[in-house]
Amino acid sequence: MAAPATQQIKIRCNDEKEFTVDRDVLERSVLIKNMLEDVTEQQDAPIPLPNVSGPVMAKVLEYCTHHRGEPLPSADTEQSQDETRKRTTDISEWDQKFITVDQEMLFEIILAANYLDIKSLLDVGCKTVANMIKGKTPEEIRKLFNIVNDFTPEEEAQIKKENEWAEDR
Amino acid sequence: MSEESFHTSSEDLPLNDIESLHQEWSSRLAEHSTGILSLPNELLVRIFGTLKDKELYSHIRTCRTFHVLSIHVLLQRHSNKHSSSGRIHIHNSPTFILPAIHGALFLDLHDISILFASHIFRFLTEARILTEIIERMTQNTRLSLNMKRVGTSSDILLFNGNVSKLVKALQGLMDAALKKGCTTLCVFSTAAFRKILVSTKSEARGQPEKEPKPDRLSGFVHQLRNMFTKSRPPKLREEVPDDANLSAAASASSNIGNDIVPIFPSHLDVFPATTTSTRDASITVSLPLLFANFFLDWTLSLFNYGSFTKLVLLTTQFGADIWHDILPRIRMDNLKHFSFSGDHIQPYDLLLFLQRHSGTLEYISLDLGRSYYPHSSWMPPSYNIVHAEITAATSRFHPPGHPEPPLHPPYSDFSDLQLLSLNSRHIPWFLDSITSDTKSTQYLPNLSDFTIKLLPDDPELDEVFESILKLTNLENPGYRCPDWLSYLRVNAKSVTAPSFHASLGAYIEKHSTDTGTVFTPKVSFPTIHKLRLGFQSMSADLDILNLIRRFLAFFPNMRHLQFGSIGRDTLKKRRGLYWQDVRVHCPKLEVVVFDGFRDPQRRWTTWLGGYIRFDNMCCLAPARIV
Repeated sequence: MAAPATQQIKIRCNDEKEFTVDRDVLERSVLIKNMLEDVTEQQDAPIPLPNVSGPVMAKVLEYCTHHRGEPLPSADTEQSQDETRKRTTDISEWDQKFITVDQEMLFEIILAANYLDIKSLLDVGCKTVANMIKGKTPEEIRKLFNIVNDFTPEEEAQIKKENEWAEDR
Repeated sequence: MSEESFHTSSEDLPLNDIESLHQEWSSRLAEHSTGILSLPNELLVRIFGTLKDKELYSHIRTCRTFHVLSIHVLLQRHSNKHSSSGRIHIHNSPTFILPAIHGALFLDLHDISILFASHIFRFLTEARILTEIIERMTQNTRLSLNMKRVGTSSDILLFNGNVSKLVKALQGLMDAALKKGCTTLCVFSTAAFRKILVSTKSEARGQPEKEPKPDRLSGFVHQLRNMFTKSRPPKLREEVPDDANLSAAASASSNIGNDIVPIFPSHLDVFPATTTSTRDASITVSLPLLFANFFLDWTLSLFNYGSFTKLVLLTTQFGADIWHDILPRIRMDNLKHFSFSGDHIQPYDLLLFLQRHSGTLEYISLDLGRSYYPHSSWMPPSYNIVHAEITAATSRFHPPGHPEPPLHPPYSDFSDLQLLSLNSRHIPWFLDSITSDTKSTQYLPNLSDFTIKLLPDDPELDEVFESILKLTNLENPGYRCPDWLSYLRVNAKSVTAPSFHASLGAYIEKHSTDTGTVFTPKVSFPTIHKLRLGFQSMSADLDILNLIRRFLAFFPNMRHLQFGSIGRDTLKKRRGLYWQDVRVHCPKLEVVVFDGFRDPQRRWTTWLGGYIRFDNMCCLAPARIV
């Protein structure tokens, strides 16, 4: 990136943690990009990000830094990406390594990517969760994600009956 | 450390810092952990969206949230419409239909329509689960199942030997529907079945066998026959379920269920009866002759189910004897709309049927096809009927050896009739009958829309118009509605063009004087202000426009004129000259519509508009043939 004088932007997370980041890295986030475009004057006050915590932001920034300079998906390519996302759950090697975190962090990253509007990171996160879900039985899924089975026994029997024929296929 | 400097080059990334932060974070997580269910629904839907159907079926059973969201994703994937209005249309995905219906019910969608595209095998399973789903439907849910594609011919051949299972499955389905107080039931036998049975018939006649698997086929038909002949006829129920007493209806229909033999339905609309819904309840039956014996009793039990208000009979292959047997056994206490289309019916049988339902009937549409009909007395009693359409393809008369219908049935009161559609041959008789009833002083006081259909062998316009003239000139004080006989439709589409041309010409010549410069009609139809002339496309050689021009002179109050196909060349050739005369004779003309004359660029419209200067002209619209 041959930007002459890279502008440094300060952001503040909900746990008071602050980061100073190159503007082009931060602009991977459509949310922040729009914020920065709205504010024309140079501001010293950090941008508050009340929905993201420091540790998660650190991960997000790691991702943004790695992918800096890549073209942002435009509205047009969005559609076709939606299409391909349906069919493939492939994740690049770096992303895969990057996203190998514990569940809580994974979901926090997804939430942050959603909030910050970073499409590619959101994609990586969702695909990862999908890959975790794939091929598992309801019981395994419950165990994996620590989900409580909140059906009544009657409901469960009913649903099982309705779906047994589908599961045989 | 309240501020941390974050290096932006990846080489200098402080991995240690991140790891320490991570650990710190992990310890905090113990207090409030972020699980998968803390993701907002939109993100879960995004995640689920990458999964295959089969995976989603697993999710359905995981927990309530997963249940709803998986169904949501499945519905989105497999339905055309999934709007907030509560309607959904599910199509074309056999493996998915049932979870979809279930999901739709779960999400409180109240109007579900499904196109079944499944094999008959699969349908067996689906029918079973569908039955349960119908049973759980709420009062407000409408479920429409289109099963036209269940049971294609190859399917049936494969299905050889499993008829009993199919019958059982369907029976369960129908039963559930009836128990729910289903008010709309469309029953068709599939074309495939008809085809197979017909081909079996030809085999019996010793004709060359063309079906690839005759053994399986005849085995199937044999089994089918046994199935239905073995079943007991239904007990016709005496009591009629009323809306206020659904439970009674349910128990009564379950009694039927034990006896009925299902037809192979292609369309089943289940809409539980509520106090308001019965108005539109209808039943449509189309059966080929060969099925008559199998299904008649069951069908009749449906007819007598009580809450149906609309009956559509589209059966063309029944003989007169079968109708003679069936019609007396149909009693529908709420019948308002009756449509019939079929050959070989004794109009007398039909007449008795209509008489029996004359208390409730409002709309009748009878297409008698090639049936015989008597010289007179074919018109049903009409106490409440507002809409009557009666057509027949030929003008054959009552065959000898059959009981003569009564000459003057009690049809004298047509005070509610607003629309009447008749064959040209019928009209003189009809008018004779009503006017010969000396007790009546009202002749069709509310009739506003009159359609005359000219038969191919009967293009005599003279008699038809003579009758109308007679009608309009009758003293009929105080009973005419403002639009009395205002709309006349002459349908000459089944008449050949030259024949219609000659007929029209003859009529005009007979009832007018034409000095060459002045054309004066001798008769006029002042009440008619909307005329529609439908006829076959004329060749440019015929001077049809000139004929029409003069014909229109008979209608001095014409406002809306609509007529059939006219070639562009014809229109062009006769332009200015033609319209001048029309204006003289029809000064009130406002709208001219050409049927079947497409002019998307409005080039012709503009072009013609330059020549037509009617004082009241508001548009000149090309329209499609209706």
